[in-house]
Amino acid sequence: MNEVRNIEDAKKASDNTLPQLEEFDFEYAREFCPTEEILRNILEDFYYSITPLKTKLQGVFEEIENQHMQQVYRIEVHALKSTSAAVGALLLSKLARLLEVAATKGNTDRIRALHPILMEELEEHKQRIATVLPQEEDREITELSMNLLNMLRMSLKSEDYDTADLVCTELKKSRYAEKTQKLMDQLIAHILNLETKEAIEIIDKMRS
Amino acid sequence: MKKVLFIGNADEEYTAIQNILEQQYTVFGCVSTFIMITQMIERKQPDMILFYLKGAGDTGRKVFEELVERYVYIPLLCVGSEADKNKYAAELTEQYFFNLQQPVNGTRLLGMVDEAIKNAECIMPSEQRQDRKKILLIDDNTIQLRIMRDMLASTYEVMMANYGEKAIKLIQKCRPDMVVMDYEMPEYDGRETLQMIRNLPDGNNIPVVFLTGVKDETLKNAVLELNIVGYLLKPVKIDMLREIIEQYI
Repeated sequence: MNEVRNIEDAKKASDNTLPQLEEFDFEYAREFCPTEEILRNILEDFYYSITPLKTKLQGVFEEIENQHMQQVYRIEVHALKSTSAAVGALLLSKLARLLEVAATKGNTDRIRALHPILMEELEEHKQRIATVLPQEEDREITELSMNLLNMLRMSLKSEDYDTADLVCTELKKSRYAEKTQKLMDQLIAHILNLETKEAIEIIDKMRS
Repeated sequence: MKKVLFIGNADEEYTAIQNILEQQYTVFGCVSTFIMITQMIERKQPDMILFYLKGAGDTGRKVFEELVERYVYIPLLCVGSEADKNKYAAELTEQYFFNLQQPVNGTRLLGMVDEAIKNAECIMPSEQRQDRKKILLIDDNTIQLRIMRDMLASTYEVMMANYGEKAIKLIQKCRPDMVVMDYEMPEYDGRETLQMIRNLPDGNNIPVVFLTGVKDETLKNAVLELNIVGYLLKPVKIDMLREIIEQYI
């Protein structure tokens, strides 16, 4: 039995198919992702978006009695509902949907009850995705990384996110020293959300 | 606007040249790694390649040789000092080399780029080249945006915006041949964004397709009355999206 499984695993690895992951329905995701490469890319994007999203949601949650903040919370979980579904994280998507409804109705008791579960689930999903991401190679900011950051800045200035995504793919291949990595994660998350101004600010911080 | 791919390590001189080029061209910066250059050439289809020789190193020399060999149909101009030229591409004739002296002679540089593009067009006229059509995707879900972009990028030049105002700026800068947009967006919904597009000069002539996650006949009928060319349910199937795009552009 184990041998059969090993052969199947090896076959999957050789054709670059994502392995099964707890709480992820990749078959569902594949219905809308034409290639495995695109699915891998969006899963990686989703991974990088989780930590900044948690920080943002927690900040908004702390002022959840404020009506404006309820609206901001609704917008964030509305987006999470579809992004998580796109990568096959269907339970997470349903949880986001419940919170979206609660935020729309201004039901703060329900938000208070569900929010900690959402935060926990986001972290667990992130840990699970990490197991299927390629191992990064450790390195410091090199001349190439610096040139990539310059190229990235130039593309962002003209809102050219096609090029920005190409550069991010290169930058993500490395793991940097802790402080730099933190900035890099923030940068990637801003680019994922098409937040031009914030991304340029981080690049300038890194370049200095 | 003609497109120039500017390869090299960005230092002050590089930035100065970039500023000169931007007066007349759409400029895409690019690091000198071959994998990145290849991807940029495929996606952007530049009319011209400018290679900044300074600090290019041994890798730069290999990249330069590969460029000359592989992309014979794209004009190439090298920018650098005489010393850079001797180091990386001694065989370059004056026609393919811009001698970088301070202050940079912008008029001469633009003249050389213009001439190189025109010469290339004589060999392959622009009507024979397949300029890719531009599609603007608008969706607040940035992962959904990227899925659609990746599905279309091999055939079209794709731009992305995650809310109406950003979309309007992009349309003003680079008029798309079609807009594909989500209907349910949090700040300005599809109806409001469509109105913003229609208020632009020439905005009435841009075909728009709506995407929606709501299966509702009433909504569908109301949306179809908004002077749009199509309406697709999310998550989007690539074949249906391609079919509707090909029908209208």
